[in-house]
Amino acid sequence: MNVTLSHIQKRFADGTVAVHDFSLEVAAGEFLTFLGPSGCGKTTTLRMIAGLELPTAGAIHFGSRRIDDLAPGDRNVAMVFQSYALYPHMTVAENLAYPLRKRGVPRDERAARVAATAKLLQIEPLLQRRPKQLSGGQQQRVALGRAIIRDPDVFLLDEPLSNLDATLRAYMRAELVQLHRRIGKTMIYVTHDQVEAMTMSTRIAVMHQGRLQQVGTPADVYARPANRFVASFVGTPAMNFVEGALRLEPTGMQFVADGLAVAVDGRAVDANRPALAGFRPEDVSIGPAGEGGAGPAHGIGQVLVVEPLGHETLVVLEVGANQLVARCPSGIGLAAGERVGVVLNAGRAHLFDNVSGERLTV
Amino acid sequence: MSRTNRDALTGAALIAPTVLFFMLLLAYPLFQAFWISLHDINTLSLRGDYVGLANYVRLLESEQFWNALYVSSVWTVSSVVLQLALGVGIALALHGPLVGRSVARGMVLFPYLLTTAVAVLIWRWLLNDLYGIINYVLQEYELVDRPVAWLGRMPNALMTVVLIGTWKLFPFVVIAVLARLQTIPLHLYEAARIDGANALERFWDITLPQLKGVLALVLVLRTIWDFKEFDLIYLMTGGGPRRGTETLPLLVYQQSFPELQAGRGAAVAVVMLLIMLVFFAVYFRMQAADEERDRR
Amino acid sequence: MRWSARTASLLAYNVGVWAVILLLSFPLLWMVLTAFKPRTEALSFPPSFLPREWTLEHFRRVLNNTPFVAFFTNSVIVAVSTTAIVMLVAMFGAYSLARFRYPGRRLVGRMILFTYLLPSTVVLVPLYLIVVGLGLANSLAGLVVVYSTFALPFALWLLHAFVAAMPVDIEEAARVDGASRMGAFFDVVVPQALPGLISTALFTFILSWNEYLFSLVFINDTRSKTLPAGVTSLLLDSMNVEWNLLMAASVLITMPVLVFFAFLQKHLTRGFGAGAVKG
Repeated sequence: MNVTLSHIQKRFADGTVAVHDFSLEVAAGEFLTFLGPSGCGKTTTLRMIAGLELPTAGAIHFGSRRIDDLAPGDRNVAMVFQSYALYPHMTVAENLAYPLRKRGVPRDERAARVAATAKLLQIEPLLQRRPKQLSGGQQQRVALGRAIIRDPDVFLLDEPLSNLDATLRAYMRAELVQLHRRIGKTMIYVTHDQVEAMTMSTRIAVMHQGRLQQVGTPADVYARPANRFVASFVGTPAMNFVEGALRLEPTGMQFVADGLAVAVDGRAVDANRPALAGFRPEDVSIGPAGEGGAGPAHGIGQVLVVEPLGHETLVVLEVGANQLVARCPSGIGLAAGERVGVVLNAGRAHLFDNVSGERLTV
Repeated sequence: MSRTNRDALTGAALIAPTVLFFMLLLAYPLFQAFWISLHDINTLSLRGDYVGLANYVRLLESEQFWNALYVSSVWTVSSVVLQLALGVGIALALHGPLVGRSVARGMVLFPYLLTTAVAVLIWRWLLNDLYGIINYVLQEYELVDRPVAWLGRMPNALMTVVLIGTWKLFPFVVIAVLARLQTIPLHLYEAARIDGANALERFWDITLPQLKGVLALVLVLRTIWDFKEFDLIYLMTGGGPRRGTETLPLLVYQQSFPELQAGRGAAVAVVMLLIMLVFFAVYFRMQAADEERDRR
Repeated sequence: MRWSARTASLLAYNVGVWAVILLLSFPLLWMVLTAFKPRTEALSFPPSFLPREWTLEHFRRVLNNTPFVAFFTNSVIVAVSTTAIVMLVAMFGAYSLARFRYPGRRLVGRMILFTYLLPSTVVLVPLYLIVVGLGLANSLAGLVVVYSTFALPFALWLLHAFVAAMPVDIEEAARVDGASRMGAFFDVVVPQALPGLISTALFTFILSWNEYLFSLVFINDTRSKTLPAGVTSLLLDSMNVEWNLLMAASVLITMPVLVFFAFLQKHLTRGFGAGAVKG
């Protein structure tokens, strides 16, 4: 079942606009993540799809059917809440059976489906317990079970992993991906954690201040961020930004900044202009700093902080007026204060308009 | 009908019975009270003439009214002050490392829920001049040489009523203050201890500022409720001796029923309400400030 | 044994506080003791503290020789009816105030607050006229109507705070799972609110049980009186005041309140405190 959002807007009673002119088509069966910082409108949008909020403008379609005015219970969606929202006065079995009860499924069939779902999620021994007797991870499985059990058209998940500790979160990420593969339904996922978005999604929709910034596969969003915000939000450690200018030299287009000069692909630009360049930490490396010579380096930097992570080392450099973070191999022996050469992977440079933040593209 | 409207309608329907109750049995009678106060009406026959503001004029000229206002003020101020003092003290005591704390709390709170009529019976028995245990103990320990007329004489009667009122009503203060005390983070006290503050200083610098909000609220509420108290005073003294404990609520009752002057009684009631509106306004202002703070 | 200063002060604290508490509770103790003392003992001078002889004669006399049982029955009828009506109206009303949005909602909230503070003496005569007009003068039904009106704001205040404190997402989950708004109310809100509902019901009962003024004014027929008005009028105004009887009656009147209070004890601090107090 595909979901189409057309020019959705949500304005609250106090005047704040949480979502502006949002249009998106979610393909049937895909795992789409709304990614963004808190307050960006992603949860509001999800709740509008669920029917817990009504859009103040625009339309939502499931397939060809317009569902704006339908009550949540009539939309055949399932939702997993951030707090799991398990019914505290019911046992796990009763929690799972509730959606079926509401749909008038006869008792025997209910029991059978509860058993099957419990088996799928490995929560059979918990069936007679109450939610408050369960651990966070167990509660989450029950919440998932309650969503799966009635075979909805669309799954909505509102930051379901944020209350789990790091190890469990990593484990559940893999579980959710496998679950999606198995049941093959459309899943719409909301999170502020870009690792979750990158690892689980078919496509990511990045949101900021109520507006859609970019929609694309994780690879797209990572390799070709549409604007400065997306570039800075996706990828960790975050992209390095350098303010400078593009200048057409006889040797080709050059990006020039304080302490830095590198040849870039200038096809998108016709004349000299100021620009913002972005370099991911893995595109910044360290070379020898010849005294007085540029060598193959694009700039000279001074080491500020060395952060050994074990599998790699992050080095924070001061280059001119800028600070850059470089991803280096773990064996690199550097000390704070050393002067080094900075080498940039020019082919992977991202260029943005320094006012609007939009990507400068061909 | 759109979903928003259907929703709003459901909400309105759910509150409709409440609104009905209020309109029919509170709002309408309230207006009727005003209306009655403009008439000279006999409570039994319910017949009377329109007299405009004559009842109010008479009221303002009557010594009985001013006496009742005075008694009400003395009663309210004394009661509230004593209730607050005792309530805060007991709340602090119950907040500490007390053995059998839950039993103690129950014993302290119970008088508040006790039927006023029963409380009055008990106290009149305790204060009985011939057989009351209090007079006996006082005489036995030679604190007095004759039984004290607790209720039969002024100023005793008013003082006694104030003390008994305090005994009965102070648990409300205890509940409110105790609830607030339990939300004060312990580490504030720990930090103060490390900084060298002693117990009194810790109370003054940490506890008291945290209690300001709840104390203000309790002050206003208890003022409103003590001001309108009827049962306790009426049952203890009936307003005597010689109107010495006749508060405004008692005056309303006295005029409306024994004297069968419904119009005059209503006038006193309306004046009472006007006085209380000042406190209502204060209370509403406090609630609004609270809500504003929570929103931020 | 060596006593540190700390243990000594702890002991002093406990002894001091308990002394005060026992002193404050003495009247209740005295009520019970007097109820079980023979008349001669109670009226002796010097009076005894503990009964030298425990007797049930006063209880027997109260129950057999006075209209006490009638008063008790009336009080029960009125209190139960009031509680039933109030809980029904307040439960729906509290849900409406806490979870719905409609024009005038805030106004209703303020109105409830206002009536909560209203002195009953102001509406005493008008309500009397209304009740007489409805033909309910001298009847328990009239009392139920009036008591419900006054208990309602209090019940709404308590329940509204309770429901508002419950997390919304559980109701939302029920709605996504297929429940209607009211379906979610019955399936999820009411079961979760049960402790609050019970506390509120008990409070309402006690309020109704203890009420005096309206009972005094609205009911003239002795047989129809409720406990507070009945017991005080019958026994207190007579020339020969029988204190043992009164104390026995008092003990009996207090029993239900005591039982309910034991239930409420846990919720008292939370319920009252949470609603009444904010920082």
